[in-house]
Amino acid sequence: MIRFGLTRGVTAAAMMLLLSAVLFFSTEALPGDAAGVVAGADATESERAEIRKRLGLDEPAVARYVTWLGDALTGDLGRSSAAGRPVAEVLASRFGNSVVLVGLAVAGIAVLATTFGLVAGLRAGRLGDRLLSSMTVTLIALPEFLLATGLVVALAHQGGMFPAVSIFPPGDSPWQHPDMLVLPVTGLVLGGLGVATRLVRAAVVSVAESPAIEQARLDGESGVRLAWSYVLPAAAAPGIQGLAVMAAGLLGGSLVVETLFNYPGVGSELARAVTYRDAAMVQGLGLALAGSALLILFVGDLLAGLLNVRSRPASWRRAERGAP
Amino acid sequence: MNLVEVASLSLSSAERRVLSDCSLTIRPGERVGLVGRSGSGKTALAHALLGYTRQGLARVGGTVRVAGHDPFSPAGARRVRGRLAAYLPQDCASALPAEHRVGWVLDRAARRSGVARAQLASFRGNALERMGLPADLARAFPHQISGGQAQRVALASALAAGAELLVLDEPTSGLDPSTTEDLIHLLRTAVGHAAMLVVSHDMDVVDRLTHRRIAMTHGGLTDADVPDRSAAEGPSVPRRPVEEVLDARAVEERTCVLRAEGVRGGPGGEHVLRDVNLTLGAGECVAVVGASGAGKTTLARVLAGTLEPSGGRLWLNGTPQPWSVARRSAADRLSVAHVDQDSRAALNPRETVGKALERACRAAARGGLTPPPVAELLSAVALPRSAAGRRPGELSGGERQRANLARAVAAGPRVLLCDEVTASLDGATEREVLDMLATLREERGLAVLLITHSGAVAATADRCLALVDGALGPPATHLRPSGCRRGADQGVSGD
Repeated sequence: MIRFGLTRGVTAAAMMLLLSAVLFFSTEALPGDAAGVVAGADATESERAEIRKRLGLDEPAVARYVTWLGDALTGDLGRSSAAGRPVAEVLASRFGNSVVLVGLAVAGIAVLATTFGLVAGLRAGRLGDRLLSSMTVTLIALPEFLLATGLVVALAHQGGMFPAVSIFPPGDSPWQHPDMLVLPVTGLVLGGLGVATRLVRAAVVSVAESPAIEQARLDGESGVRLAWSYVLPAAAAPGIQGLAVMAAGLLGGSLVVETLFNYPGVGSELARAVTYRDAAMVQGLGLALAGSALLILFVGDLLAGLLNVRSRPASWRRAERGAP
Repeated sequence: MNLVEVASLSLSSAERRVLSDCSLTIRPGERVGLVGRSGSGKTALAHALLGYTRQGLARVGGTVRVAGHDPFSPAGARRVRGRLAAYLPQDCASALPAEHRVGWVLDRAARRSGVARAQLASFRGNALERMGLPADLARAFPHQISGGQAQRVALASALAAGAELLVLDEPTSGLDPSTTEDLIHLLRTAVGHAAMLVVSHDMDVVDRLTHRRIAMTHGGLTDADVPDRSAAEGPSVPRRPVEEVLDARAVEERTCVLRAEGVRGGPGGEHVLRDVNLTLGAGECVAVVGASGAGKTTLARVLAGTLEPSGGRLWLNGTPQPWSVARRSAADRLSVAHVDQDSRAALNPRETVGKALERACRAAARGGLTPPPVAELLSAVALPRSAAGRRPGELSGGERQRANLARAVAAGPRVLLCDEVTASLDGATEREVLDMLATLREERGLAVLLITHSGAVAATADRCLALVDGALGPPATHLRPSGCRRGADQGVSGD
């Protein structure tokens, strides 16, 4: 298990390096650069060249990548070429907000997807399963921005229950404005719920066919007890891995929702940076998002490994055995 | 009043009648044996006593009453399942919830019968002690205990729930003779006054455990008070007369298809096998016997290439081979077929038997062989033609084992590694399967390694070897079946 963790950790680090290269060179390959934006539309070619030189854009891309990566390792993600603020500073102020948003959404999805997945999986093929399955397929088919827009129209404009935009003063924590979190979180939950429910349902269906569940039914276990004590522990490991994939995907999905609600998170900042051709900002925020996604997947794998009684570390098992 | 009353019960699946018009009564404390051929509907009837039918089966008529309750109604099921009646499945080890400790399983059973939370610990201790299990087994997970222990745990939890009726499905299938003896002793002494329905293909076990016996044929019940000895007799594959059995030199002269030398290792780096030497000639059948946990299954997996040993060498058809099946050539991979003991795990649950056989036939065709048609394969292992359209979950334990065997044979192997292939078969079906193996050996020169705990099955082999202390040797006298006289002087490795 410890070896498994180490191998996975090394793989994740290598993956991170690869992603950083992809991120850096793909932003490089995009047409237009910060010099064009900073200099304005009327600037002459010589003015642009001078700005390029000032921003260090005239060096070869590989050299700039190595410098950028070295700086990133020390926590310096460069300066925003549009606003001049250090990228790390922007990231620090926005990252927490995004974590709150995505964290709440993942918690909501985990609870709902587990409930729906268990209900549908244990009644596979019957009416309840068919209803839930059509619902999840519909949710998967609907694009996220449509769902979020629908929410705004229904709950903010018509119902007037929650604010349609989630702008709060900089420096405030999102916890101080719970009403502003409701719509973005609901939007993200609806976006990820369909896929997560299908993943949990698939895990439950395969567990429900196992001899252990047949025996539990023959022993008179049914309903919530059967689902909670017998099916869920067996389906938890694949379920957690499914949730981890979904949570990593939500980080990207939050870009749409944050932009739509003007929520001050990493996603909306990233969208703005792309608009302003702010390469340093796109690279820095992208690196942070990619790192978080890899971290979530890594933690998901570790948790799934710990949940499996066969692969738990032996020392842990001994400690448990020693307990009264 | 009768404890169990089944009146003209019929069960149907989509395409056939599984049980027709079955009637059965069991008095309190009575012990009844249910015998019948593999796939005749024994397990379906046993499940029906608890009001349970497998997916795809439905009750089409008749009633079941257990102490006056109808287990097919939700309220009756709550009273009957795990309380009045307990069911012990064929494979107890995989029926225990893998994520919970043994103690938790026992506690759940005790809670079902209404034991107060405060008394659970002492209750659990008593239950384990009664079964002759160590107290610290309560902290073990199911994968850490042996099959025999798992069965005792299941029995302990059935008794902990205070069941008045125990339904035992093939309790001795897959157990070696000494474990079978222990279990029979336990069932005769520790069960108390509970009634028992013992489903088994082993007449001897049924006779020793029960007062009377009923037989099932094609879904119908018949009283079998007149002992039906034909099914009880061991396999009657013509034993080769002693003078016909080839001696060691002749074995060497025969084309040697498989040779293994100095095999050592085991799962997880354990040294289950220490120094195993084995040769298999074309058309030869070698039986391997040994106590549970001696490493018989490990040996089969090592030879099949699914478990890499820590040392030793392997030759197939005279050429040295790597251990891992992934590194063997396609033709060499086809030439060794492994029929695993766990047929449920070996077959794809989503694939019909017919599809699985066709796939194996195509693999054989790619290797330049002409595989027999699917229908012929099925009849060779005594499966009905309709089995081709069914999935593994819709077959009985014995049928699944034969489907797995048919698939192995379909790929046209030169060596067949059979791990307890006849363990859950009745006498008559076992005979048919062994006959089929004998024919294949004669016609195609198939070499068979027959892992078994049954002396009668081992007796049909050319040679019999015992796996003791991680090495193969001549079987000890008390274990040696009558047909294995030549085992000792034929030597172990043959080269």
